[in-house]
Amino acid sequence: MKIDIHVHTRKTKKGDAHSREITPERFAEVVLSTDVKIVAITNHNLFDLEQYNAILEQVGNAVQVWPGIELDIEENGKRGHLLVIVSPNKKQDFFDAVSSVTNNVSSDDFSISIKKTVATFNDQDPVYIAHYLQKKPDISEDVLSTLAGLITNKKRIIKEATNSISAGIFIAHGHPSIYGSDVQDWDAYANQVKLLPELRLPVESFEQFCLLLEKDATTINTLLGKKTPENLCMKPFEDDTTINIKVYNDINVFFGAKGTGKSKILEAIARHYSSKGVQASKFESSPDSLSSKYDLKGKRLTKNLNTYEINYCTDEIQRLKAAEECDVTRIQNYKNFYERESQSKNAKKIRIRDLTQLNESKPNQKFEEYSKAQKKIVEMIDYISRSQPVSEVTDSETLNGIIKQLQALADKLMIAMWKSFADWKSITLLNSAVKLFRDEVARKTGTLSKPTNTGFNKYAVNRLKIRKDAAEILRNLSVSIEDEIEAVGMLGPEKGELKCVTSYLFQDGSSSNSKYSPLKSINKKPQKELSNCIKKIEQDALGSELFSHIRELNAIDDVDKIETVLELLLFWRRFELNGDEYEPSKGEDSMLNLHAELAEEKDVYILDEPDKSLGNEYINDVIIPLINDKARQGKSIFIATHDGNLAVRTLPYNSVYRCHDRSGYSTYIGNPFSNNLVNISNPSNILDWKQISMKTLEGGEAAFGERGKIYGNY
Amino acid sequence: METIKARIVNHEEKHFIEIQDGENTIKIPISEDDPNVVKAAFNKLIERLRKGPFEIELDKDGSDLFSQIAKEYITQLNVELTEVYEEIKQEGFIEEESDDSDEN
Repeated sequence: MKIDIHVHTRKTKKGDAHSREITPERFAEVVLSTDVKIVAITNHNLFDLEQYNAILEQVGNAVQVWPGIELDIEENGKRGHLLVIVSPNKKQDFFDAVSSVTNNVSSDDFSISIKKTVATFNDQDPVYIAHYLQKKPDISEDVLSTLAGLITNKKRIIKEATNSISAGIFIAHGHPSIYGSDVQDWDAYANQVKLLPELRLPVESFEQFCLLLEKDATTINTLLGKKTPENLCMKPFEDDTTINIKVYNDINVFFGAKGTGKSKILEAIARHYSSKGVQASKFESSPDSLSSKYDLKGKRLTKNLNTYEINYCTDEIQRLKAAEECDVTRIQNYKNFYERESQSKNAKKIRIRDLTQLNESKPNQKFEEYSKAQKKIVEMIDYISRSQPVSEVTDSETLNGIIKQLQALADKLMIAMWKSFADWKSITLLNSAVKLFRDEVARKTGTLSKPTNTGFNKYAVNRLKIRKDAAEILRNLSVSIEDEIEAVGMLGPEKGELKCVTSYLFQDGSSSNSKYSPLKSINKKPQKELSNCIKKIEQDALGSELFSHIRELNAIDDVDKIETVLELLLFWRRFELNGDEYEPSKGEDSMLNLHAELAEEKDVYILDEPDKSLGNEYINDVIIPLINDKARQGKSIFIATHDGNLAVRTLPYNSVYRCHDRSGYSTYIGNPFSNNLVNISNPSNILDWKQISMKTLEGGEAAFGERGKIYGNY
Repeated sequence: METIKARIVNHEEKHFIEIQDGENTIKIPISEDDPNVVKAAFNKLIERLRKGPFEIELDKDGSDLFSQIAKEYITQLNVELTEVYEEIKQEGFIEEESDDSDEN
């Protein structure tokens, strides 16, 4: 279906080609041979009512012919052309208005100001189409601004381009645009038609076209064929009934009485898209699901402590639980040794057994340090030798110099490493020899060995490690984690934005805030007891009570469940409004659920009665603009509703009506622009979209009433 | 390195190594096994090590049994004190000096 908003049927200016002149009969012959179904007759400064009526008679109902005029607008000494097109219902008024303003002035000499144009035609509720940029003579931006300031509905101004490419560019820059044939030669019209805009949706009348304009850029996208229809073939019901419907990447409304299978159809649509790998699920408004959606109880809540550079302390906790006291060397061993030493002369001769064992850990540590440093330098040499960025910013001479110096350093470290290795192993061998001799002397002579150490080292290191582990756990428990704040949605301009806030707190033994709950499945009591125990362990690491605290720790109920500091984490998740805790009402729950659904970035939205429990104000002010915005982005929106506001105000591309009577269930498809609903099983069975909507939808009549200007009073 | 004096004391027929660190006295029994007392003494030594390294010096060198035991015990303990001090330093348990000292 093509639309041509700019044709000439009369040669009214000297400069007009004779081939623009056409008889009503020829007009009908030419136009009916094409796919053009809407034509606006826009002769220069003339509306020939007699010819218009004759043309109507010739084309009958096959083509809509809209009355219009192409006016010479003069502003600031510059002329530009403006098409003024009105409803056929207003042809007489329009004719009278044109006659009064042109007042027998020849078309060549006639011009009119913008102000006078609006004053003359505004009562006819026209569409203004201005020659724009390359379309000469063009109307300037200033004059268009003046025009916009004089009329109430700015969506009635469209910019006329020269072709589809220019129109596409204008639209992309936010200017509603269209183009017509501006026919010069009717004999060539059939060829020109191919380039005219395609109107994908059938538009029944001028009023419906104006309704389509309300959809702003979407309208024009339609005209340029940007909205893509998709045929869905589904079996939504148990009885294998097949439903074939055409849907658009726009708003598709399903309405009808309760129990007519709308929800089932939505489920089938969800299955259809899911099977194609498109994220699609049916959204149902449920008043109590907001708290579960935001998981206020934290059932699905997890926390990665690494993000906050918090150590889970798995090893530290495990070591504390398993900590044991280290015994010191018995004094009796020294006594035994010195009391019996004199009894064995042979034993006395072997002095090596009395050597004190030396500490291996220090030379070992030194060796490890040299080894680590040497390895790092070798890695560095390897890295800079291979690194592309390094070679790009350095010349080869400098690079070789650096490598040479690093190599020398690596060599020195290697020497130091081997020396420390030798020191370490010498001590190991000496200690081993002392032990061997001591054991052998004791075995052969019966003389007890002298103790090699007092046990102080082992004892002290054990306690120091316990203290270190406890301190590390407490240090991590003292880290504060910042609140997580998630926007839930607007509760209106007065109340403000509702947020979901999650606060975290480690149970360090001092927290007694009842609003916080353990993140993991563990009771608060053992959490608190364990943290307090660790505090005592840290404080008494060098005290006599240390191991009674360790025993106390192991006796805590569910201590086995606490393996990391994560088990000591508490959370408090709540809704907040302006910084205060807030419990949304059921209605607000529904609002925000829907808001959250629409806030998700998806290509397909399937909404089952989203209006449930919602007030008209919220639907009109928040939800409808959001849905319209999704439609403008080319998203597919499927809405099953009983609400007139949603079904009417969203100006759906597609209205699917389900009904049930004695003959069974029926499905009708239509839209507000065609104002009809066609039975998909019997195309000759057509219902009036507006009447059915008013009858079926709750608040439908009011919605139509408020939108009277758009829908017309027919 | 600081040196702290120690002596052998006899109290009610029990012998001790008595380490005198300023006003603090650390006693290690050497005539009978009393691990808890030894551990308490060790705890004090660890605390003392946090202030800085030190060694213990026995004031009299006798040849009786308890002198021999004390001498050997202190020799071994000194080695271990050095090792533990290194551990304390490495783990960052060194006690920082109090600002009060400046005020005095």
